[in-house]
Amino acid sequence: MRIFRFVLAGVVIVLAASCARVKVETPEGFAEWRTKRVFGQGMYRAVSPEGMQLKARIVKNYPPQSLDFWKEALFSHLENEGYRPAGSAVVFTASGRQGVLYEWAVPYGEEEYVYLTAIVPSQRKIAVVEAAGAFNIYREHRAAILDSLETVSFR
Amino acid sequence: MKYLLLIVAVLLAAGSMPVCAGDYIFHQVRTTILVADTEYTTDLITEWAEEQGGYCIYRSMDRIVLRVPSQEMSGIRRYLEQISDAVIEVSIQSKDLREQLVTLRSRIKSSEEILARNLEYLDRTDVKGTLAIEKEVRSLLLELENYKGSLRKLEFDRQFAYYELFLSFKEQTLPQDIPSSFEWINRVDFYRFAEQGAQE
Repeated sequence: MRIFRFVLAGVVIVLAASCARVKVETPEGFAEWRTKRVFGQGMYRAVSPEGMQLKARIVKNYPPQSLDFWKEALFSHLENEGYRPAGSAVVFTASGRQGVLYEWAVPYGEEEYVYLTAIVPSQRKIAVVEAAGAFNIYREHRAAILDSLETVSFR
Repeated sequence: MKYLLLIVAVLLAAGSMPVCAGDYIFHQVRTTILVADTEYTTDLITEWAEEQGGYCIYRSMDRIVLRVPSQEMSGIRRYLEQISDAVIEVSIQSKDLREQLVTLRSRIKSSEEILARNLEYLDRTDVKGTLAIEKEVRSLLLELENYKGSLRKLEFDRQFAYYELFLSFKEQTLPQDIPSSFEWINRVDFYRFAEQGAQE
């Protein structure tokens, strides 16, 4: 019985660690979309009336690196893939942690979309936020999204 | 005492110096920039120009013409670099307006003198003479108005640069999927993001 308790406690600890959930204040004009949580998939999702989406998730900061390293890695990867930067990097503070966001211009269907990628690293984890929408719609919600990014927090 | 006099002399000399030549330069600038969204960019540029005290003369999807305060020449350049993907071409023409201003001012002065003399004659002449002087006065007044109009235009050009901006939209190819050494970065992908959203 004692062994069973130890095993159970271990499982609970492991699950708790893997279920790191990102918290984000829903941007003004968006609705939070509650998805079924699968272990380790503490994802946040919000949708605007036009269908524009914002998603935030937690990934492992591995190899453990700082914001400077990850911002460089993310930028060079997306740029090499052919994404075109739509402005320069914006450094922001999210619940006391420094983050960075990039906006990319991406052709999608007949329209030009803006794809936002933001990261907020901590020692062990990184919050990754993505949002995308047709240029006009994105422009309308941009300020609310940036405000919301400043509320990203995780343990 | 000697030094004090010297300093006063220098200060007086500086005060009586002619106004800097830069104040009399009219700038005409043509710039081409590369942007993602031309409509949005023209909105931004128009707003910026208005905030600086300038205004927009003409705007279309790919061209915008502005009058911007001359002292904001470097400011607009910096702003365009900030909001565009690239500044492709900049062509600046500068013209010193001092000679034209001096010419116009002296023309106005001499026309006004002639006008005053003609008006003096008017009191001392007969009907035939009056008619001739009246004709002369009318033509002088017209001339004066033209000169004054040109002077106002030059004074305005001195203060506001003419900025013609062409906006070019870069055709973009679809991004390719190139693997990264970092697992999570591989999952940062616009098309994956858009398609996941549609399926959920």
